[in-house]
Amino acid sequence: MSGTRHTVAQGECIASIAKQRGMPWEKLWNHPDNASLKTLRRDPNVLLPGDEVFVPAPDTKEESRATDARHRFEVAATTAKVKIRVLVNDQPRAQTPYRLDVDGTKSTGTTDGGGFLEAVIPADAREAVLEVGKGDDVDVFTLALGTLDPIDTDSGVQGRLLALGFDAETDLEAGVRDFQTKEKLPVTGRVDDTTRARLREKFGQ
Amino acid sequence: MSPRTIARLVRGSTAFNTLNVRTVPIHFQRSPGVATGNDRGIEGLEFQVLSAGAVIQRGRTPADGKIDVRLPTPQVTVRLLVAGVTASEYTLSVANTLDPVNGLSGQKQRLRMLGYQIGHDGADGNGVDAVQNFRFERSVLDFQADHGLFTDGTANANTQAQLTTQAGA
Repeated sequence: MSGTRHTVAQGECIASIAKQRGMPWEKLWNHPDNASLKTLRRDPNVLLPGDEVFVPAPDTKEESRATDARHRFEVAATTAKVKIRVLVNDQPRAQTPYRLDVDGTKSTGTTDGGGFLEAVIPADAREAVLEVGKGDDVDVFTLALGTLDPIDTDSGVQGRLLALGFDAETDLEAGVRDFQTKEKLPVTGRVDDTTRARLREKFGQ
Repeated sequence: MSPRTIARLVRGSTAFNTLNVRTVPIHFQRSPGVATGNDRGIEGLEFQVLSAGAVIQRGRTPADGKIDVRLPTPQVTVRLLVAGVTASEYTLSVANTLDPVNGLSGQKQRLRMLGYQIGHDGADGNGVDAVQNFRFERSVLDFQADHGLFTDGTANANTQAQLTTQAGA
């Protein structure tokens, strides 16, 4: 089958690459030539810059229509979603109004009982500003979408620790120790399998 | 400060991203040595909390002077305003950066936080070093007097315990 190889850049995910090529994300992710990538990363939401994705040639579809008449063709829009859990001191910010601004497109809503919010976004959206709360009690988050690296990389561990409120900005090992202390794991400063699994559970992926 | 990174999720995914905000309780109190009884809290002071230059929290201090400062990023700046003009600024970090209370530097850090004049010696020019000097001794005397402790100017066990209580750590 014909197609091309696409090298993943920072900020890309299966959904954004699929949108760029005009095809559903499942077509990329489930393609036999991407089987090894699928095994390696397991999660279509998170790829590492440098990963190679096989992009099959688009299907061609022939449609016969009369000339000199107007015809309507519909294309399924490629979208992704964000699902975010907002906590304050590890407690959910439940039933709280929020405003989400994704590349200039604004939406509003209320978090659910567990502090969760979910929004549909363009698959290639890059930046978002999330404001949770009202009046004097507002948390403002600047978000970089699709730049989270896989959890088995240092940068992926760092991104998750920062989101969870641990100081891992300049010293990753110190951040890992903080996390291990809080989670009552052996405090080694090293990212072992137990620490990684707990981090995945706490962050959500 | 860099933005928080999260993943876009494909439709049908059950994964999510968590954003946790930590808060730190900060008490704003009147200068030591001022006879205000037990009511040292500063009420009605306008404050702002800034992260990466942007205001992320604002309000006025309540009667006890205590506010819960949000730390969406590991470091924020707390700005106190008087009549709309910045009067002072503090930098707060998530990490517990206080030295142990049984050492000189840890005692000086707590005295400084609590508003005692410990001078400007030391590498950072904030008075926090491990050198015994007359300013330290005077601050300890002031602190002991303020809290009804035996005033001998030495940071003994009782004084250390009171320092820990007052500083909150």
